[in-house]
Amino acid sequence: MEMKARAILLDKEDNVVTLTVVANKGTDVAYISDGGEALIRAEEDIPAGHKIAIRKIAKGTAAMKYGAPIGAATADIEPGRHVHTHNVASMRGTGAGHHDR
Amino acid sequence: MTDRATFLGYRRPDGRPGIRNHVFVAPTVVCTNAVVDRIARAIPEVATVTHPYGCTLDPVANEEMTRVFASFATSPNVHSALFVALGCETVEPSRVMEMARASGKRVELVTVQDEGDTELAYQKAVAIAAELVEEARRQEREEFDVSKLVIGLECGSSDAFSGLTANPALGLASDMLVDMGATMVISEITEYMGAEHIAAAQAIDEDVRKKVLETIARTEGELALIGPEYGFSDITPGNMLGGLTTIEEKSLGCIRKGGTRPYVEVVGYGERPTKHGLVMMDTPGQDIESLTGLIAGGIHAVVFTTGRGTPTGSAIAPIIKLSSNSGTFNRMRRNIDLDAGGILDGTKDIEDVARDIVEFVLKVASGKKAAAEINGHREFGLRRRGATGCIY
Repeated sequence: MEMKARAILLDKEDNVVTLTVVANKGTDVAYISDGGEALIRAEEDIPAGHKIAIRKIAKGTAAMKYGAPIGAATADIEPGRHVHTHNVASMRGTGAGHHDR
Repeated sequence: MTDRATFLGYRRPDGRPGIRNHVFVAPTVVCTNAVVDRIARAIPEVATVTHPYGCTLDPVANEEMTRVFASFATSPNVHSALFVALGCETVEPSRVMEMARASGKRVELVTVQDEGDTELAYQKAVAIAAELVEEARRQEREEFDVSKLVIGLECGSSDAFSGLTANPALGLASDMLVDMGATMVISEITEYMGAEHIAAAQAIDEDVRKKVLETIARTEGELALIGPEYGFSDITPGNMLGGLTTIEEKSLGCIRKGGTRPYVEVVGYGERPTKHGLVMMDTPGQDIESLTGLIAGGIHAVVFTTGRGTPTGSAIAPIIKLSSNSGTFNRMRRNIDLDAGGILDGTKDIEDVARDIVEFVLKVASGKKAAAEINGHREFGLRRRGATGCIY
């Protein structure tokens, strides 16, 4: 077992990374950014496949993955925190979607 | 892999070769399901479906049922077909027959109320089914160019790895097959919400771009009709356990399975593509409804990515499963054909898995059985009109 957990950053605009393995609280999570290794410390236990914030995401602003908004933060999310349904909500399915791009 | 790849298929009167040679047997109405089940027990080689449809006061749904039943009979994978009618249903058997026989293949009808009762209808139908199976057995495979293949792209029971491993690998495989001249059909419009800008940019021209955006906007409008008080259930509990948070995140991963070639056409539910290349079909995200639409649209097989693992299949088309992670693959080895999990642990890259997919598709086209066929999965379900609350 390696000491560091691993995660995937999909786009330089993203403020979350996706864990390829479980990260326990206090573990450093390594991911590739700009060709080098970057680290984010997990502030709580987070399951594999789930997202961890690598920057602060202020309430009402977009969580970004794949270089695109995946939902709006419903609370301030600090770096290292689990980003999921308890603090991010979809902006779609309300009939008010945007189709202008 | 050369540009002149071929597969061994079955010649059909309408020029669309099949990759299977099924005798398809189905009821035109729910009331005769038991007769079809009895035929399936007597002659295990027949490809049967049973269903809850065939009689409705909704004229639009009635038309769609009529068209989809006939389209299963005209599928290139079907050698010949037999329908068992009751005789009073709203889906008129004579119209199903007329549409199905336009393909030039043998399609038969047994009507319970004309025969007397279900026992007499069964005796007649089982004799016809046996005769069709005997005829099908005599037909041999011939060589066809890969450009004759029409392959569906689907994902179900997705997790957060689906968009990182299996879907990008399938997208690259889709590009490779399009470049070989094949047609790839992607569906599940609910899973474009949040990713429509990518699909729009991939449209071949302004007409297709408009149609892509209109189709997604209409679907989102229908979902909104469910009402905000129900909180628009945009993803499943399994998706969430697998790390997916919103429909936007799910969509951005889902559409990667379509690859990067231009969308050349948007077709309606169960409609046949008229162009070669990447085609979008208007279906809901629910797996069975989407697969039924794809198969009615004449696809030969589907490559279906899954994160948490799903066994589903079809009576007449191989549904090839590709897992997003090796944990699911190892747990569901009997249900899953290929694994993209090696991309996560670095033992494979996306290109390796894409090549595995193309190779497997060509093998399946020439007769190799997919896991869902071996396991006898024959799910069948029509889309529900209006809001579909269930998205896989």
